[in-house]
Amino acid sequence: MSTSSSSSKKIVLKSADNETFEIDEIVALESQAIKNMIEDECADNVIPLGNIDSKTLSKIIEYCKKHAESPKKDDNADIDEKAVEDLKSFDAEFAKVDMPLIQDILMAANFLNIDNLIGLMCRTIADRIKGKTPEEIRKILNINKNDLLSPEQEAKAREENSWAFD
Amino acid sequence: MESGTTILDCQVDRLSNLPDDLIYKILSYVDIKYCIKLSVLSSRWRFIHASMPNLKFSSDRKTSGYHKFVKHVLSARNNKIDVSSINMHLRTRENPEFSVNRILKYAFSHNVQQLTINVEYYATPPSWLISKSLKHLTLIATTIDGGFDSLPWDLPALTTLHLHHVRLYNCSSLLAMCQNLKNLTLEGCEMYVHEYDDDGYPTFSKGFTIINSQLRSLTLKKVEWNVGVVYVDTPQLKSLILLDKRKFSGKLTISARDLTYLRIKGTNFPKLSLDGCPSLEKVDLCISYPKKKNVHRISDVFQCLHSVKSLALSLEIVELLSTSEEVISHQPSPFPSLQSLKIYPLQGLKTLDVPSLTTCQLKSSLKIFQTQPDVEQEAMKIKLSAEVTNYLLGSSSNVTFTMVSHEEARAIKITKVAYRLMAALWEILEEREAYTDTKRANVEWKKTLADSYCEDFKRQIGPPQIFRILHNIKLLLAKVLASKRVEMQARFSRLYTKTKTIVDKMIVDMKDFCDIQQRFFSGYLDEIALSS
Repeated sequence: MSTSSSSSKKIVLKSADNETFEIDEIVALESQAIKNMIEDECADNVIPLGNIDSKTLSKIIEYCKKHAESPKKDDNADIDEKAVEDLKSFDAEFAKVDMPLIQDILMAANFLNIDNLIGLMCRTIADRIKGKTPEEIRKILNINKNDLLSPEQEAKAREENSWAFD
Repeated sequence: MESGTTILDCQVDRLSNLPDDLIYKILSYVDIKYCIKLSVLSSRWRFIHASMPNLKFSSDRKTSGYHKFVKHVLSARNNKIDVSSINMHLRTRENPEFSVNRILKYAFSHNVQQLTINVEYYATPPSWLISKSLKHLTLIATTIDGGFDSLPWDLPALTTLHLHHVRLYNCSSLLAMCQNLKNLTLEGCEMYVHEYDDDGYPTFSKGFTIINSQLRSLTLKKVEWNVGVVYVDTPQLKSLILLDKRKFSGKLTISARDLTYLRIKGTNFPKLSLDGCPSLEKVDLCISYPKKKNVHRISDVFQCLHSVKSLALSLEIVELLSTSEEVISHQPSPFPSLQSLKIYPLQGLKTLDVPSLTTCQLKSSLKIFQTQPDVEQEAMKIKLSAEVTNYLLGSSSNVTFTMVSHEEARAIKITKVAYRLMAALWEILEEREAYTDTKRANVEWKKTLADSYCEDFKRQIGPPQIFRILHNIKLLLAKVLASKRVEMQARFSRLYTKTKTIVDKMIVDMKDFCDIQQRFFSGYLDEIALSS
């Protein structure tokens, strides 16, 4: 997973399963958390990410690379329509993965503090649960069986909010 | 279904471990009514709707008693928690103002920062938009009456204002009153300015003004001005986008000493004064049918672009200049600071829209264009005279000059359309898949199958249409930009695999449907045989 340009500064990320990823610093800066680490000079050559596996990390790097390459929207609003559309279609394509991976990416993006990616994953999850029955959503989201409401509690919840259930 | 249970057992419930912020963020994309229904999901989700800070209200035309629902939602909330954003998309016919007013009152007393109001059958938003916290406001399809001496709005924190299809009466002062406004977008708006004559009768005024000291970015899209003069006075403005398909015969005067970016898109070249804009660096004049009689407008605008570094012009503008050499002959180039010049064609590149491309089968990729190319004519257009080249590029030798050929422009368009079609097909497939899955998940799905098959038939998104879209995409892929081809091919093969899976599922459903029919008919026949 090395990138092409050799002149720029490199950062190495290490996943929970000990795989290393060498990326350009500019790509790593998409993560506010890594940015802070670099600015505070507490980033060594290798940044260990003990809670992110290599599959998730490589997806996140793919996302950051694309977004680092694209022109940033600043207050000049001087951005190419084409670049915006390109990024939008990249995002749509990026989100076409299974639910467990989406949730892993969301958790990792939250840890790494990558705002756009958090938004994208949240929107994707919302789109996938819209219009589904509670039973379907429990399955989609893998909601822990131990957390389920007892039949009495569920009945009470329905009763309390009966005005929202048609 | 067996495999489903095993997955359930061995995987973690990641989502319930998420911090509240993220759950709130997910729910910000979900209608409030649905969020409340989620309270039965698990203990983690039981009371989330009462504290979530982003609320999305929506109702359709058939909804009745929506204001009662709103009252319930708001009284069930934790009153100590602020709201951060509220989105209203109401289509209810029954007293929508009750709902709107209640929501707004709640929003303003709970420090709302972002507000979108899109309400049908609701002519006027309340004149009392008063909030110290509101930063972003979007109003859609409504009317604002600025009045004369009343002060309808008090929004000192407002930085972004979007007005879509809004009728504005006497609103010049309104825009000046939003003192911290940084971004303003007017799209499809109609402006009316009345003044009173000596006898107190209203008359149409001659001008509309946008005066604002803080504004950084201004977008005026398809605005119907109804006035002779539009005057923009915004000393801190950096970016101005002017998109005008409608005829505006009046004059637009812009005074913005910090303006660096300007983009004008339209059919005609507008009457424009840029004397007050000495800092323009990046300019794009995207005019498709400039008129010969207006060529002076073009050269007048060019005279104001002495600091421009990057300039993009439609080929049609350049063409008009070369047929009007008297305007430019012996003139020095007006762009001494120019670093890059791009010329691109516009005419003949209008494409069909996505809906029509999903219903018809293309015979060639060129058929996506509304007019077919005339290669000879195109070749003639692209030849620039030495005089025009000299005028545009001047003596400066290090200007990057890009001439986009018709062929390249077509490839760019084809690429764009191909991307959109792929996205459209993916959406159709996802919808199909969700639909089939829900149907299958239903224990009694065989009962409903006959009904849903009829419904499917009505929806018309059967295999034939899916194949048609896939065929069209394949056709376009051969002509997309070379730099995008590999990526798009990969995308296409994913789309192809998905199509195959879903069409297979649909065919299984059809077979089952036929089996049921067969059983039904033979049972019916047996019955007749027995009864006779």
